Amino acid sequence: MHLHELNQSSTARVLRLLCRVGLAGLFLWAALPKLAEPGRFMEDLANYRVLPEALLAPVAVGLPMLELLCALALLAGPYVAGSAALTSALLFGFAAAMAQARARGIDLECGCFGAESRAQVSWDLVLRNVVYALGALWVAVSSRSTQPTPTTAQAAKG
Amino acid sequence: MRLSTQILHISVVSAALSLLGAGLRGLPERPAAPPVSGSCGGGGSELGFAAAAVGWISPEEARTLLSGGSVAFVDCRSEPEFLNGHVSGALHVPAEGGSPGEALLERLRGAATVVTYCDAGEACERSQRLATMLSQTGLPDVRVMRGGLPAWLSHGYPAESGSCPLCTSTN
Repeated sequence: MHLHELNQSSTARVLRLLCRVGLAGLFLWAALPKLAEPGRFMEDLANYRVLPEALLAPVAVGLPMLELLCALALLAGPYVAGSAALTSALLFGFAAAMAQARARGIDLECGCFGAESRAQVSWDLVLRNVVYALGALWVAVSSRSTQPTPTTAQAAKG
Repeated sequence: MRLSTQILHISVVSAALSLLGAGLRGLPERPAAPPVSGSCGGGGSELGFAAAAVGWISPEEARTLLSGGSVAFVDCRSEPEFLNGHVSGALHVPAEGGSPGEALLERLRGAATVVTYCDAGEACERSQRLATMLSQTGLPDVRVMRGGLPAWLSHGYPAESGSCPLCTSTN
């Protein structure tokens, strides 16, 4: 391996680590208040007017738990690619939910970080979520390509 | 480990923990709105607001709905304020008045969306209380107009002054 390739791969590793820590922090910050106050989160979900009434409570319980596990798994080695892929899917989903609300003229608070954070849904917020989602997608793809496959692992042993 | 396996593992553990949490704590309920003195329509606490489903609407979207004729506006300000000016065609359910009558509710049921408003947005709890109460009567889509009448007027949207002829017979 040439020196510049080595430098590039170490730069990518550092960048990936920063993305992982950043996304994990973001999702921890998002999950904990919602887990503490699921009723308030349910109210925020209802304001998006996307989910049927029957799904509000299960989603209000399940989504923060998924965010929490994604955050923890982003920090832990073996599940980085999977958690980053899930994180990316969630962030794209959040962006889509916000975009449909803005497109329909619904003026609402995002409910992204629980009751204490009362940011209004805006196109800026949609764009920010898309950027985060792309970052998470890059982490998923690049982590997957750097993980040893059984074949390469055996070759390394041999 | 394959990507799909990782995703499956995380999803299954998340679902299991969520079920465990729901089993221990029960499914969440929406928080009850705080009691507000002088709330629109009055008698709020007797009606119990715990399960209200009320969202916001911007003046722009409300205006679009008005053009389509599928919206009913409900003004919950005082009589002098209403007489001075209100959204064109709005019904009047003042805070100091009684609960909206059945005839008025029947009229509201004819609209796809009911929009309540007063003099401000989030600061005006009167319109939120009224919206919550109307929602609990079974109206499917009740919203509170963000910014209230000032926001509506700032856009130059249609407004009128005078009494509400429909309200005297229906309220």
